[in-house]
Amino acid sequence: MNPVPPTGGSVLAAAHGPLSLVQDIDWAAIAPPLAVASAALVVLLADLFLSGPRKVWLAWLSLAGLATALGLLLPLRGGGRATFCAPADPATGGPPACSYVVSDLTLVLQLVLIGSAAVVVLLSMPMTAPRPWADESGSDRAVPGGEYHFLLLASVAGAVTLAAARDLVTLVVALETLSLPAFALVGLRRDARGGEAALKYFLLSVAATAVLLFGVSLLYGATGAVHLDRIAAALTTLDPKLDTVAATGAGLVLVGFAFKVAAVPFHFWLPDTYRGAPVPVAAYLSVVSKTAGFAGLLLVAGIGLRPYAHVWGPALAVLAALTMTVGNVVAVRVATGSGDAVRLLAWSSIAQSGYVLVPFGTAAGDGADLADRLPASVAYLAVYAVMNLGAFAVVATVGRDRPTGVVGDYRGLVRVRPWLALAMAFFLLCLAGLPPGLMGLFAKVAVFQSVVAGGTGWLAVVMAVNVVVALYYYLVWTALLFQPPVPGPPPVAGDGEAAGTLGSGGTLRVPAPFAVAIGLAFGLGVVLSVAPQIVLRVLTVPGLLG
Amino acid sequence: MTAHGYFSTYALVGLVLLVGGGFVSVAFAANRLLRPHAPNVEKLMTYECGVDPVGEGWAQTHIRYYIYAYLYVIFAVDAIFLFPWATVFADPGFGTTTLVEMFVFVGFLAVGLLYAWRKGVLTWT
Amino acid sequence: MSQRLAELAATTDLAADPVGFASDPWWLILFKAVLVFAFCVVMTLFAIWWERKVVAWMQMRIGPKHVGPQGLLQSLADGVKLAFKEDIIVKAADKPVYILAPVVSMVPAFMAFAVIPMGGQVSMFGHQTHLQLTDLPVGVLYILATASVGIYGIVLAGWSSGSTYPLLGSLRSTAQMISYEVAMGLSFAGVFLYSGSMSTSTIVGQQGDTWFAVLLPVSFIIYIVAMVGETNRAPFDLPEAEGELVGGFHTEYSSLKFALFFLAEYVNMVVVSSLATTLFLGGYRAPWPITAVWDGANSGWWTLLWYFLKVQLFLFLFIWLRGTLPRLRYDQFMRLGWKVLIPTSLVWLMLIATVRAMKNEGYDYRGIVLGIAGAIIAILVLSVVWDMFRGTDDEEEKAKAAQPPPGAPGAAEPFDPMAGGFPVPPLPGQELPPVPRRAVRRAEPVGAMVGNGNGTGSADDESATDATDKEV
Repeated sequence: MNPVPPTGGSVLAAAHGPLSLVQDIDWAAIAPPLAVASAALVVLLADLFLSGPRKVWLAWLSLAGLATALGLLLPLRGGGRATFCAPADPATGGPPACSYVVSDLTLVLQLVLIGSAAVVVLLSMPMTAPRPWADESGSDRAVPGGEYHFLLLASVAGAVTLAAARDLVTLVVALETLSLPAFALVGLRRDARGGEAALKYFLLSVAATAVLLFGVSLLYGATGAVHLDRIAAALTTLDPKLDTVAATGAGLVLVGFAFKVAAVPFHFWLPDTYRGAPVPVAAYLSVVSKTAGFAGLLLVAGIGLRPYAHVWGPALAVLAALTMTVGNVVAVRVATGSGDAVRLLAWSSIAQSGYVLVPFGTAAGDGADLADRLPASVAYLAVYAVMNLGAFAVVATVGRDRPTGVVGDYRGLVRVRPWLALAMAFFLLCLAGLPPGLMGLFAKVAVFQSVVAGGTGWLAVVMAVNVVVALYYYLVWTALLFQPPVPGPPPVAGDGEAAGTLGSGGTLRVPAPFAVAIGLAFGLGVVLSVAPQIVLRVLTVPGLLG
Repeated sequence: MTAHGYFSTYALVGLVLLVGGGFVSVAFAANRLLRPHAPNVEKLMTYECGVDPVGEGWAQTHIRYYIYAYLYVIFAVDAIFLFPWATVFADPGFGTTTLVEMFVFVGFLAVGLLYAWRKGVLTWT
Repeated sequence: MSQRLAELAATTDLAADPVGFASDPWWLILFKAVLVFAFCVVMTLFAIWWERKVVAWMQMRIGPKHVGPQGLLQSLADGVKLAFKEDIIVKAADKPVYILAPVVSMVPAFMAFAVIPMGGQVSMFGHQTHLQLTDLPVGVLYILATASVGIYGIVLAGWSSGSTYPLLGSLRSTAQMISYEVAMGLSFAGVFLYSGSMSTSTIVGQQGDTWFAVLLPVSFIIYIVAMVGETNRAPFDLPEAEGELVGGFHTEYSSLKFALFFLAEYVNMVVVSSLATTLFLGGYRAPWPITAVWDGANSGWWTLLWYFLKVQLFLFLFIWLRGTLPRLRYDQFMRLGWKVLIPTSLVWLMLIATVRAMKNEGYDYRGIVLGIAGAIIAILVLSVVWDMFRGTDDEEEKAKAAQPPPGAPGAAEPFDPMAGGFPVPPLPGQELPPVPRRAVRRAEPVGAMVGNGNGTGSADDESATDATDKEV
C-alpha cells in the first residue's frame, strides 16, 4: 500500500491485514447454486432472442442448468467444505464461523431440491411451450415461458443456497430469494384465481418474513451473533436476564419458518394458493419450497437453537399434532365433499408436513440427542418429494384433459391409461404408507421410531391415529382409479364425484415430458421401496446436523 | 481531518438551508405586503383552456410512468453502488478481482436493461 | 484501509492549501452563504437577459433594450413586476403543498451551490478563505441528491394544483428528469474513477495537468446531454411544451411563486454548468495557453474569472441549443435517454475501468489501445451485420402487419381527412395515410443512433398514430 503511515486507528485494516481486501471464495462449494442462478440468467437472456416454437429451448436450458448443478454436487461428496467464513473471534476465542457450509445434510437437501426442481421443469414444459405438445386451449393456457423458467430457477437458487446457509442473514436472504419469485410464479397465468392465490400467498408470506426478521433481530440482539454455531454457543452461556429475549426471538423465528412450511395454524394460504396456481407451480411449492422451509427449520432449530430444545420441542410437538390432524380431517372432508384433486393434495401435503414435524417435537432438554432424532425428518422429506411429485405429475396430466379437476375424473383411469393409473395408485399408497408403497411406509416407520425413542408417547399415538385417518381418502382415490366408468353421456362439468368419466369422455393425452416425469418418480419410488436403505442411510450418518 | 471539521462541513449545508429558508420567508413576506389581493370566482377557477373545468383535476395517469419510476429506482440505486467502487478502484489491494466483480455487477444491470428493452418497456408509446 | 482513509482525509483537506474549510470565522461563513445566494440571483437575472439577447441576435432581432444599458435591467424589472402581481391560489389546489412546492423546488437548487468551488483561495476582509462554501467528501453525490429533491418540488406543484395540465406536465417532467439522472450519475462514475474522490475540490485539484473532458470525452458528452435533459431546457423542454400542456407544471402558479420556479430553473442551469466546469473543465483553473505564459493565473481572485467564463460558456451552449434545435418528441427523448445514453455510459465506464486496471497491472499502453479499438470495431461490424439481417425481418413483419386482416372494419373504408368538409380525426379502425415527413424522420440523427439502426423502428408506426391519440 502507499507509504503514508496510518493515522487513524482502523479496525478493518487490523482485521484483514494489508493485502487481503478481497475475500477468498471456495468456488466449487458454491458451484451448485451458482449454476442454477447462471442458468436463470441465461434463460432470461435466451427468452429475449427466441420466438415462437423455439421457446421450447428455454425449458431445455433450465433442465441443463439443473443437471449441471446436480453434476456439480458430485465433487462435493466428501462434504466438509465451507466458505464465506468470518475469522476466529479474538474476543470470545471461538473458532471461525462460516456462512456457507457444505455438509452431508446440505448435500442430501440440495440433491432433493435440485432433483425435484428438474421434475417440476418437466411438468411445466407443455405449459410454457405449448407448440410441440398441445394446443393453446384448456389448462395449457400458456404462461410466458422465459419469465416462468427464470423465476423458477431463481427460486431454486434460493432454495439450494438455503440448504447450505449457516447464518441467520444468509438464511433470510436465501428464503426471500426462494419466496419472491414464487409469488410471481403463482400469479403468472394472470387469471383471477391465480391473482387471488398469489396475493394471499404474498401477504401471508411477507407477514411471516416480518415475524422471522423480528425474531432474527431479537436473537442477534441477545447473543451478538448471526452464525448458527455461535448463536448456539452464546445461548448456552447466556445472561439469564436475556433469556426471555432470546426465547422470544427463537419463538418468532420458528413461527416464521412454520409459515413457510404451512404448519397449522399458519397454513391458511396453502390450499387456495395451490388451487389457484398452475399445477406444476403447486407441485413446486409443495415439494421444493416446503423442503427448503424444513431445511431452514432444521438448521435454525437443530443447530442454532439447540440449547433451547426444551423451549421449542414441546411447542413444535403441539404444532405437529395440530398440523397432522387438521390436514387429515379437512382432506377427508374435501374427499367426501367437493373432491377437488389439487385441494385434496394440498391438505394431504399439510398433513405430511405434520409427519415431518414430528421428530422436531421429540426435542427436549438441551438438545443433546437431536442428532439422533432429526435425520428422520430428512429421510421423510426425501421420500415425500418423490411420492408427492409423482402424484402432482399425474394430477397435472389428467387435469389437462379434464379441467374440472375433481377426484371423480379418475374413475376408470386404468381402462384408458393403465400405466398412469398404476403409477397414481402407487404414489397414493406411498403417501398413505401402505404396501406396495413401501417407501412411504419405511419413512413413516423411521419417524415413528424417532418419536418412540424420544419418549414422546402421546405424539406417537396422535401420529398413528392420523395415519389411519389418512388411509380413507388415499384409498378412496385409489379405488376410483380401478372402478368401471359410469355409463351414459358425459355429465356436466363441476359436478363433484360424478363428473367427467374417462371411459366415455374421450382420450387422455400424456405429453412426453409428463411421461418422463411420472416415469422418473415411479422408477425412483420403486427403487426406494425395494431398497429403502438408500434414503434411510441418512439416519445413520454421524453428525448429520454438523 | 478531525471529526469536528468533518461534521462542520455538513453543518454548513444546514446553514445554507437556513439561509435559503430565510430568503424564502423574506420574499414571501415582502410579496404579501406589496401585492394586491382581489380574488373572484373566475380567478380561483382551475385553468382549462378557457372553458369551465369539469370534474376533478387529478386525472388517472398512465401506468408507464410507474414503470419508469421502477426502472429509475433500480438503475439509480445501482449507479450509486458504482460510486464508492469508482473512488477506490485504482488503489492498491483491490486489483483485477474488483474489476471482475464490477463487470459481473454491471452485467446484471445490463441484463436488466436488455430485458426491459427487448420487452418494449423502454419504447414510449 | 486506514492509509486510504488518511489519504482521503488529506486530499479532502485540500493538501495543497493551508487553510481548511472549518477555519473561517462564523461571520465570514454567513457572508459567503449570503454571497452564494446573491451570486445565484444575479446570475439568473443576467442569464435571462443574456438568453433573450442571444436568441434575439440569432433571430435577427434586437431583444430587450429599453430598461438599463442594452436592456440589462430588463429581467430585474420583470422580477420586480412578478413580485407585485396578485397571487392567485386556485380553489381546487391543495393549499399547504401548493405553497411549499416552489420552495422545495428552489431551495435545493441553491443548496447544491454550497459545494461548488467558484475559485481558489482568496483574501476576504483580511482572512484567507476558499471561494467555496463547504467541501463535503461526497460533494458530487450531494449535488445529485439535491437535484433529486428539487424534482419533488415539480411533482408536488403539479399534483397540488388540482388541475390536469400541471399534473400531466409534472409527470412528464419527473419521468424526464429521473431518466436523465441515471445517465448523469453514470457519467460521474467515470470522473470518480480518475479522481479517486467525490469531493469537488479534490476533483478540481486532480485536473491540474489535463482536464477530465479530454480524458473522458464520452462521459463529458453524456453529461452535457443529460444536463440539458435534467434542467428541462430546449430541445428537451417537453414538460413546458406550450402547445400541448399550456405551461406545464406551473400553469396554476402566479406572482412570486411562479418567480421562484423561474428562479429555480435558472439556478439549476447555473448549477449544472458549474458542475460541468468543476468535473470536466478543470473548475476554476485557467485554461492551458494562459497558464503557460502567466504563472499568476491560478491564484487569488483571478480564479473566479476563469470559473465565471467557463460557466458562461455552458450557459451560452444552453441558449444556443434553444435558439437552434426544435423540441424532441417524447418517445425520441426517452429513447435517447434509456437506449443510447445509459448503455453507452455503462460500456464506457467499464472500458475505462479495464484500461486503468490493465495499466495498473503494467500492460503496454499501445497494446491496450489497439486491443480495445479492435474490440470496438468488431462489435460495430457485428452490429451492422445484425442490423442488416434484422432490418429485413422487421420490414417483412411490418409489411405483414400493415396489411389489415380481411374483414377488419377499417379495411374497407379509407380515411378521408376532410370528410364532410371539415378536418376530422380518423375513426377507430381507420388509419392515417403515410405522413410525408416520414422520410425526414428516418434521417434524423437521434433515430439513426438508436438500436434499430436503419431508423425504421417502431417509432414510425407510432408517428402515424401519434397525431391521432395524443396521450400524455
